Amino acid sequence: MEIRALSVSEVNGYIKRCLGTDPILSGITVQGEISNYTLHSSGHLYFSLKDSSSRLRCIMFRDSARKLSFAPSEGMKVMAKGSISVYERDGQYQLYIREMSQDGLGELYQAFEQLKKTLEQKGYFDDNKKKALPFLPGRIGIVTSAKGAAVRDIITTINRRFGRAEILVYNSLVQGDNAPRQLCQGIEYFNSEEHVDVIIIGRGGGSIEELWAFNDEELAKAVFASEIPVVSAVGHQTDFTIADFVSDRRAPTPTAAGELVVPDVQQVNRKLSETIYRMEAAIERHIRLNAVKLKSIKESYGFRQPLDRIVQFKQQLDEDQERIRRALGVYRNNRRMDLEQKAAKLDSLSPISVLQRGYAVVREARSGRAIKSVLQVEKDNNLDLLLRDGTIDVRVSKVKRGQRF
Amino acid sequence: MKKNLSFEEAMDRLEEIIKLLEDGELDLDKALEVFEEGIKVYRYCTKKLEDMEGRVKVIMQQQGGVVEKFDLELEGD
Repeated sequence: MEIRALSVSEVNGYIKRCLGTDPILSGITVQGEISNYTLHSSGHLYFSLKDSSSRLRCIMFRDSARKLSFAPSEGMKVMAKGSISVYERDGQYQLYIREMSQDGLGELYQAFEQLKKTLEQKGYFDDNKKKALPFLPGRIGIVTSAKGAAVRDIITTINRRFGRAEILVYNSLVQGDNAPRQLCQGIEYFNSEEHVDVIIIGRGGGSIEELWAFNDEELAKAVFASEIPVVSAVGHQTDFTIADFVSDRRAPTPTAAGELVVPDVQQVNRKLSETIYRMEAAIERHIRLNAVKLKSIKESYGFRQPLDRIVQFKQQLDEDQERIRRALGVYRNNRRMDLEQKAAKLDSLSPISVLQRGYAVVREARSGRAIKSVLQVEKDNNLDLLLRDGTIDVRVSKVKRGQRF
Repeated sequence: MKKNLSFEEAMDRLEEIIKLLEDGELDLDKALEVFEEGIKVYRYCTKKLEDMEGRVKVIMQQQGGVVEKFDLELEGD
């Protein structure tokens, strides 16, 4: 088939349409290394992805670039997701990137899942291992960077809600290779050196690599081993780290951690005032009831015996005392009678009291075994008869079965 | 009243005391005794709140594991 000569634009436009309808090219993920990286003032990113033998031109528009969780840089290994299309002006095809992540995160994620599974099996996340937070901690330990935004959020929140807590900040790195060790040391410090009632570990938001220190196994062990309750506050609402699973409570943000560890002082004060009010009301009622009783007693006597008030009161007092003494006496008597009854019952059950009533116990002389049946005895056996005041040795001359007396 | 009650335990005890008083089963002497204990626990709670120090200290790691403390200056928002 012969077709007319095409213009350059027509060719490029045609190629663009071809690429646009290709099911693979319209949605691919490309792995490579960033080179010739340029961040344009418009906010768009221009660079190439390359491997050892080839390169691919890429563009990432501002709207997509804004969602990146890391800052791309020269030489960085990435996975880029997007579509291949043609830049018609230059007749060049390029990758239009919609999403990009750092390569190697797949491995990180696997390591995370693996550690999570191991620790879960060891019982590190069990609910029954979680310690309750104190209602009112006198001292609060925070393990985080003393310069970070997180520590400021936590302290501001605690002070706003409560105002008067003592806060100890253990300065620690919160990202990088040395961070887990320092975080552990912070937890251990509060457990052994300077006691606090609750510990907060955490940091502000960041990329997955920046939060990675909180996925450390040693840190998980330190949190688990801590005798002091630990609250984790790592990153934002959506970030979950191993430390969050092991800790006794997870706070979605540093601010929320502040809210978790201290109560609202106004609420506490309200509750306290309520208790005193209720106690006073109750005791007043008690006194009123007793006063009414006293009054009725007083009036019944008062009409018939016109003594003066003091004498009445004295008499009343004497009577009351007498009543208490009587009541106590009755109580004691009851107790004594109760005891005597119990003693009598015990006594009647005792074998000695049976002997007192004239019965005897028969025992085989050799073994001392009690004889309860004629079947246990044969002629010429030696028996002991135990009576109230002594023993009689006897020899059996005859055994008669089934006969009584 | 027991010594070294935590704030929470003290609040729980207050609640118990109120229940005892509100039930009205106690005789007056006992009720007064319990009421006095309640007032003591209440004062203890209030004092515990007032005695708390609003202090912020920072513990820095130095080389050789030495620990130094000073008050943290919070930068204003």
